[in-house]
Amino acid sequence: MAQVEPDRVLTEALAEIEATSDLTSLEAIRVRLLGRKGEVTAHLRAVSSLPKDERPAAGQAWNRVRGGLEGALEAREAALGSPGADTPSDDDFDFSLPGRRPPEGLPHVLMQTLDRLVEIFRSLGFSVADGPEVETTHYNFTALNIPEDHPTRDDHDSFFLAPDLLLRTQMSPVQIRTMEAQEPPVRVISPGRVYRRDHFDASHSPFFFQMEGLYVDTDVTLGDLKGTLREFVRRFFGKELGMRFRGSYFPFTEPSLELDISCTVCEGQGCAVCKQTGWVEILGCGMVHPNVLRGVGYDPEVVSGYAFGMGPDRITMLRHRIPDIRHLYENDLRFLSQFRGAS
Amino acid sequence: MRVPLPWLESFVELPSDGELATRLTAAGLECEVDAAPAVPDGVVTGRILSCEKHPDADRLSVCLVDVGDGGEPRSIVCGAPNAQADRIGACALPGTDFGNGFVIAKRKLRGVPSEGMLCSESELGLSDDHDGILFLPDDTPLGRPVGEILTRPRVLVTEALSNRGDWMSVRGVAREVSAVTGAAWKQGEARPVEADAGAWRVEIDDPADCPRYAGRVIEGLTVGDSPEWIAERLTAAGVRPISNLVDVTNYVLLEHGHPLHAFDLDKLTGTSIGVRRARGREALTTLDGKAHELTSDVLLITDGSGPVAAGGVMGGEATMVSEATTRVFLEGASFSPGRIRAGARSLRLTTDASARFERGVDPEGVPGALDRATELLLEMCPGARLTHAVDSYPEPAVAPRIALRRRTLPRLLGMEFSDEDVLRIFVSLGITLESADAEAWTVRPPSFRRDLLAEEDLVEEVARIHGYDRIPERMRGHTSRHVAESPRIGRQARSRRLLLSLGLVETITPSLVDRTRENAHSQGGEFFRDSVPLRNPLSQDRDALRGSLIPSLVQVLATNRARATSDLALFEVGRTWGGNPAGHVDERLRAAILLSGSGLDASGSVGGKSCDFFDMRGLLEVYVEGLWGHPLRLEEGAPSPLKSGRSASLFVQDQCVGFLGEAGASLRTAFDLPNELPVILAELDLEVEIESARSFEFAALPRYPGVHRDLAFVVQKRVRHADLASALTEAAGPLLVESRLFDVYEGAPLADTEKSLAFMLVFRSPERSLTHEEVDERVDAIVEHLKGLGARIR
Repeated sequence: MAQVEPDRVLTEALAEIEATSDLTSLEAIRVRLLGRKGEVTAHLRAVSSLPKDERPAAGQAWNRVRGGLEGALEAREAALGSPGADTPSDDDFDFSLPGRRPPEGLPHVLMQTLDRLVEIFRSLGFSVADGPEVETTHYNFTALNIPEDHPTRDDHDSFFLAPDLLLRTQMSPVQIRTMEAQEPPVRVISPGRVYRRDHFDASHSPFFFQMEGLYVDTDVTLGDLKGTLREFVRRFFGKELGMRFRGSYFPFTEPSLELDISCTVCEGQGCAVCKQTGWVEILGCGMVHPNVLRGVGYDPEVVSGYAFGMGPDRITMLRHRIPDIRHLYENDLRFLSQFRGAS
Repeated sequence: MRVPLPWLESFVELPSDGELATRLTAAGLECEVDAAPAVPDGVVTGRILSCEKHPDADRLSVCLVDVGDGGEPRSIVCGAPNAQADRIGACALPGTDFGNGFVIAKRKLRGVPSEGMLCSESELGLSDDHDGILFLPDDTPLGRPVGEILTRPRVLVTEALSNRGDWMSVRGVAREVSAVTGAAWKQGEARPVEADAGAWRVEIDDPADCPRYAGRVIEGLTVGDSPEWIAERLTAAGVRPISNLVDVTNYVLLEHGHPLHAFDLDKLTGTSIGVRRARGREALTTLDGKAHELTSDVLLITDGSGPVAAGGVMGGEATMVSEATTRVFLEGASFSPGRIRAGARSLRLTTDASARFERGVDPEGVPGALDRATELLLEMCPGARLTHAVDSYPEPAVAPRIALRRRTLPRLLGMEFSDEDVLRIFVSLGITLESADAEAWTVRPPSFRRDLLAEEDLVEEVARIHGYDRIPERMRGHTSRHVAESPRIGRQARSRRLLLSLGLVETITPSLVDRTRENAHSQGGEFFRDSVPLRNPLSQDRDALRGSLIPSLVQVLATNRARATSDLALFEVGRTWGGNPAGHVDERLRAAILLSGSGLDASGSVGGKSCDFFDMRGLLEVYVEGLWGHPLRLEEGAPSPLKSGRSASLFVQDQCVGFLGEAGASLRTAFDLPNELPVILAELDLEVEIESARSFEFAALPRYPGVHRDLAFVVQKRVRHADLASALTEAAGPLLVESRLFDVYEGAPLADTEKSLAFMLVFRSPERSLTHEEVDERVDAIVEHLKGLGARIR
């Protein structure tokens, strides 16, 4: 290859670049000089075949030519006002175009609530227990200290499959099954579907969800129940809320209480959600009745326990201000997709 | 229950409204003071001077009203039918704000100016009465704010707990007020009037049904209006005053919680009252005029002629009091809650009386209630006198003796109580202390507290009256032993996580279904099971437990298709049932998936890529491997609701776990889905235990490079990929470490009966680098072997 002055090549090429008026001829110059078979490229390749002592100088010189050309080509290209294939102009990059979304799963809004409840109580040391939705009257009533002639046993209120077989009306049978299966201490929650013999309307459904909790051990007191529930409210709502424990009645607990929290919508000022009271009922609870403990073979003189139960449907409706429970079981995509990422 | 505060206050001193409601609610008696909406400012009394028909409207009249301001009478157009001259009404002047944006303004109605509004009771929030305008007494001064003239007593609206029947009376609420505030009881009991039974007898058949039955014979009565104060209290409590005789029984019912019933003595036969169950084919017409055929669930009150009342529920028409009544037999009783509940259900009747008896009425309170009624009747009717009193109480109730051990309180409540605190609480509740020692307090509850039976009940009383909010909070450390969770819980959680990560939408569908509709699809299949019937469904469309999740998901598709979209990718993890309620009901956790239209195409564009069988298959492969750690295998054949030839059964480790396929004709018809809409379904049983779980033990990573070859074979279309692939693997020998189908082609230049399957193969040895010659040799062997399936290299 003939000796060619690098500087001359550069000078001539720069002039030529300056003279171009369109991108096509600019690209032709780039290919002629810097392309894979281009002139400058060839000189750079040839450096390795030069005598050893000439290589550094030649290499530096031709690299300088290449760098100069690249800079000039880029500047001219920008000056000609249109982006090339490899270097789009930032101004014309339209980031507002929609992204290509991968398929995305969407948890049901009710399950988002349940998942959160479960997560909180797991972190407080509870395990998850389950049991059948088709239950015996023994587990659903008798073992829960509900007397034989109690109206709740009536087939008016519950769905029966056979005289002693019904759809569970609460999650408490799971507490009994869990205690029967093991010795204390027991600390479990049981989320699941329950049934009541109600027609569908805005606030009733023949099936809905419940989550109950149970802790039986030596030295478990009402104070523990209150403390645990305060911690739950703090974690679930992410802040301190006013809490009010009220006396109540459940056959399987004694004392029995209900817990109200100050309305999260109006912050206790009174609104339609809390029916102007400033309080919203969120769960029932109490100390496990000694008859229930005796029934599973625990000694109420040695152990004591607390239990609580709440309605995830109701909590979901409160959190998201859903006016009608039927939305939860209809699965209208326009409804479900409103709660993406709510958890 | 509505408890007028002045009535309550006649028994006990009351704190402020707010404190009253807060304290009672905290103690378990949920209540609020009904804040009667005040009559708005600007409503004043006015005399209607004249009332003429509106010239242009039949139903309107034009009144001239003097509102006592000394100015000209105002012209007011009124639509009430009862508007008339010379009466005094409530007149809302312009500017009066009724709330909700309703402000009175001067305007013209059909051309006639109207400078205000004459108000009805309902417009003033005084009652539901909107039949006409409210008239005030003729001597009412004009121009006075109506809100100052008309005052309604404030009312405490309460909701008693189901075990606290004793709260369903003014006196019961007053007792609770006294217990929580410590205020003293103001009023003594009614003064009993003495009388003997004379010829009167009461025969109680079974004291278990009716522990006590008593009566008072009162003669010389005059039926008329009750005194104003009784009528006012009844009205405020929500009971319409009728006549002194009826009002007294209602008054005592509300005050004492004891239902009383007055028989017209002239219509009773004999002087012997019986209390017994109805016998075969007995009948009674109750005082609401309805004739009942009685079952043995109904407790009857009888006289010498037969049934005269359904005890505890409703009296009979034949013996009811009327305006002509002068003598009554006044009944007071205590019936068993269960008996009254059964009787009321059998009669399909719920009354104020039955509601109270169902919660329990204290037999000890019966004479007091009758005394009170007697006192009131004698007071109202100067000529009246008590002639006889009869009382049958075969087995007087004995209050249980209960010991509350001192250590129990801190053990259950987490705090200590002083002797003084506990005794004060007992006294406030009427609980009698029998003895106290170092170990325990021994007490007897009052007769009206039938719910206090054992130590735990006293613990509740102490905590409740002390105040739950004053019990210190504590949270024990997490010292509990972990309770092992059932595999089902893990499988359910993992399934949801996997299916969500695959981009599916989670649904929760009704588990109660229409049996007829459901079974039309199942046809008694083994996997796709018949639904399990309920004995007492509420409606035919939810009369059974579902046998499969599939129809539920297809219903979700149908619902969404009707509203917005048919492009869905859904799943549900839920329970299904099979078997027979008389024998064994088999409850199984399942997961089901539905893909329809272009539901899997995340671009969301209309006309996106339709989903097909292989989208579902791929999804299931990922899901099953993630759930059970083993690959999914398909076999031909699936349950009937799926399209035959386009469905398959799912196997994991030789166990059938479910099926997948396109929706068949029966599902499409039932849910009105067009044939051209792709609908792919799958259901898996999550109860299947897959035995040999994989070990997931580390395997050394390959040290030598693999050699990669692509091979395309042309075969007859009927040749299955699975057969070709397994023959290929067999021929390739152990050096083949990976084989993957990457293309399926049909069309020119292939014959109509042919297809091309292209495989990507990787050969590798764990011991050395393979030479190309070695690999070529394996490829030749494969090509040669596959000729057996009629395959040729493309």
